[in-house]
Amino acid sequence: MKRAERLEWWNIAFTISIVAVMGAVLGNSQTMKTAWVEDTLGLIPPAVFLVAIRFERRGADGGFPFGYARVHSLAFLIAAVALCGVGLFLLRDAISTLLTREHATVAGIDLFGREIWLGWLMIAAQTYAIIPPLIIGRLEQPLARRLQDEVLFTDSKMNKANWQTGAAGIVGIIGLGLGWWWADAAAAAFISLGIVADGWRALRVATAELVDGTPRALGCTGPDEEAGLLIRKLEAQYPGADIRLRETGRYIHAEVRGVTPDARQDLEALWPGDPKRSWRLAQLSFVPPDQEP
Amino acid sequence: MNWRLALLCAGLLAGCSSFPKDVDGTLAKIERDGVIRVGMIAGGGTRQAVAPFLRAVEAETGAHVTIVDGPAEPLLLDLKEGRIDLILGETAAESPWQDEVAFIEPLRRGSEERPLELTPIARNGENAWIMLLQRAGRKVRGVA
Repeated sequence: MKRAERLEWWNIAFTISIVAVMGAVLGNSQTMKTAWVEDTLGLIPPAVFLVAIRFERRGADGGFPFGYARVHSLAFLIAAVALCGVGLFLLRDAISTLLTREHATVAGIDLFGREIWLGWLMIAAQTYAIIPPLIIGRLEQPLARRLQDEVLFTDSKMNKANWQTGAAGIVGIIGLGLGWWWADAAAAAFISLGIVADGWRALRVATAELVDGTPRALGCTGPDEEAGLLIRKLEAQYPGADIRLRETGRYIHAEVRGVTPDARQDLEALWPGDPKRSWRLAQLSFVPPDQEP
Repeated sequence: MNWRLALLCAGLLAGCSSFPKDVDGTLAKIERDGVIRVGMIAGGGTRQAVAPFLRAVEAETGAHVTIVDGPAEPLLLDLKEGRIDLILGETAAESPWQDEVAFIEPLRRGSEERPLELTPIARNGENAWIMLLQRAGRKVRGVA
């Protein structure tokens, strides 16, 4: 967890530096403005992750007797909305540029007494903007899997969106330099479709988590494999019982309905998957037959 | 993925002799036809003021200037449609046409009594042509 926290602080620092560098060479290019907005929105997932883990560490109190584990679910929803919003923003922008046949003006500037095409500076800024999200996004994915952290996973998707947009931006600026006005918008539209798909998937999983849906696999809407194994194990242990699982942040809460608890349960022993991940099962509760609603 | 992208960029760069190019080929057309079609916004007596600038543009392109006078709006429409290559005239610093066409650095700044700038205006996306106009403007202003 410490490593993930440190990584997200680095992520924020690099993103701020990228926003500053890109802002200095924005010019009149729509692609650059779009990429700049996207980089700025890229600050949301790491920021909500850092806020969420601070809350998660707090214990239960009078106002929140069940603790703050669900802050993580809320943070995930915010990150998913940010990813979806970025994708839709990019797509709208690219389609509008293509429909209105907008021609971007990227002229020259006087730099230390030499005339230089602003496009070269934009390419340099975009190249810088590609490197940190490419590295950080790749480092985040194994951490997100280990911690079962949807916010971190969504942030890795956001980083992927950022570096891909940077790459599309470079192709677009080179295309513009070659006189192809449509190059950047076409590349941006193609990439934004992928971002919208990732955002939509994340939004569906975040919503399922908040309305007590069955645990979903990390980064997709399909069922979680470990949760499926746990259901089968509980069904075998309590034949005829109704087994319900839900996810609160990174933790699973299991409910066995229609049976009376026989003895004290060892949650670690009950976990059917990798013992190192047994922390995922946070609670097992029982609803006796006569008390079912 | 990354090496393919780098290869694509290198290929694109290797394929370009002059960078950047115009989206609609204004500079190539001027060099080919030997004519620069200039619209002069009526009023303000700007002809004399822009003469050194136009001479510098002629020297850079090897083409000669033909001038049409007219009110700003029809000229701006003609420029947008590619019927003329350049507009010269006095415009407000915050013109509503700022996004529609490319306003280049003014040849003369406005004053408090007359807040209008003497500005060359080109079509958006004609980046090689705009850079040439910037260069000519710098020469006239004595910057370069």
